[in-house]
Amino acid sequence: MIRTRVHFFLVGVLVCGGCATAAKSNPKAMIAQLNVNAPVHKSLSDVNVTVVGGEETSVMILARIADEDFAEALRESIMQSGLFRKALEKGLATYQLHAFIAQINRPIYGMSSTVVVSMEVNYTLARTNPKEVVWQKAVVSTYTAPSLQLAKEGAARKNIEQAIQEMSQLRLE
Amino acid sequence: MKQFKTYFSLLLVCLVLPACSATLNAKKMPGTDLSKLKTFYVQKLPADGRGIEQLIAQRLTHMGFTATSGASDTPSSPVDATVTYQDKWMWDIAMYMIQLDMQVRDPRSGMVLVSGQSIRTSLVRKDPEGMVEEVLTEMFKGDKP
Repeated sequence: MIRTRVHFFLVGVLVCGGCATAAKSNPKAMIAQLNVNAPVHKSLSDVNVTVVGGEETSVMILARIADEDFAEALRESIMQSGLFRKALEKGLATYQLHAFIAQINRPIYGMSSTVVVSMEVNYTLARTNPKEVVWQKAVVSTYTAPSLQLAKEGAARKNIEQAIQEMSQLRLE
Repeated sequence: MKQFKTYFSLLLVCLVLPACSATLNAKKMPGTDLSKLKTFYVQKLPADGRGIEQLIAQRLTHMGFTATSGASDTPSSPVDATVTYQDKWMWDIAMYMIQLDMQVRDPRSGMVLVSGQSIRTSLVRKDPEGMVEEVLTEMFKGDKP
């Protein structure tokens, strides 16, 4: 009888540990839903998008986003907004958009039923030939959601939205 | 009885392991040359009542930089970089710092040049001075003046 109880307790402990298992970010959930309409300047050029500073989520640090996931969301958001003709992963383009995920923060513990995640990304948009930085900005976004996963993806989505809104004010080729 | 001991040992491991996790990391914005930075201003976090900004400034001075700290958003004299931070604390018999995040920023644009983070749970806790030291060491690894 005691053995059965110990068994159940042990399984409980292991299952609870499993609750902390990292969940991968979903790039589709981070795509910004906005339309860049006139009088905003749309570019007829292509842009090459690169992302650094992100990391795969680990059990210890759950609030992380992988470079490739954020890059995919950023490219797809740019394409959907119509800001550039094409957003490329590789290859030559008139513009280069570089994003550095400087930090993603969340409270470690809390009694609240919601999670707040804040994210800071440095964006640099440069013309490739001649090489010239045309826009550079640190964009900070915050998002509150019932789960860490949703808060993290929401913060990324809002961050991308702000960046696209800002870039859409530029006079690009 | 033997099986009970095995279960108990396994249970103990499951309970103790999460309490002794530590992570330390830093990430630098590509193309940033930290060796050019000589003067720093550590901006006090409004919610910080423990004087962490002074510990950071002291540690930077110890590392060979010129560092000042204060509650103002901007330093009284021009600096090469500003430092911001966020400390998180937890209770386990006594309060201890569980997480310290730090960012070195360009004073003009506010952009993060390098960020560092240390997380230490209860059994591997360090005092705030130790946390500050390890984060700054990680951030400036290979870029000291």
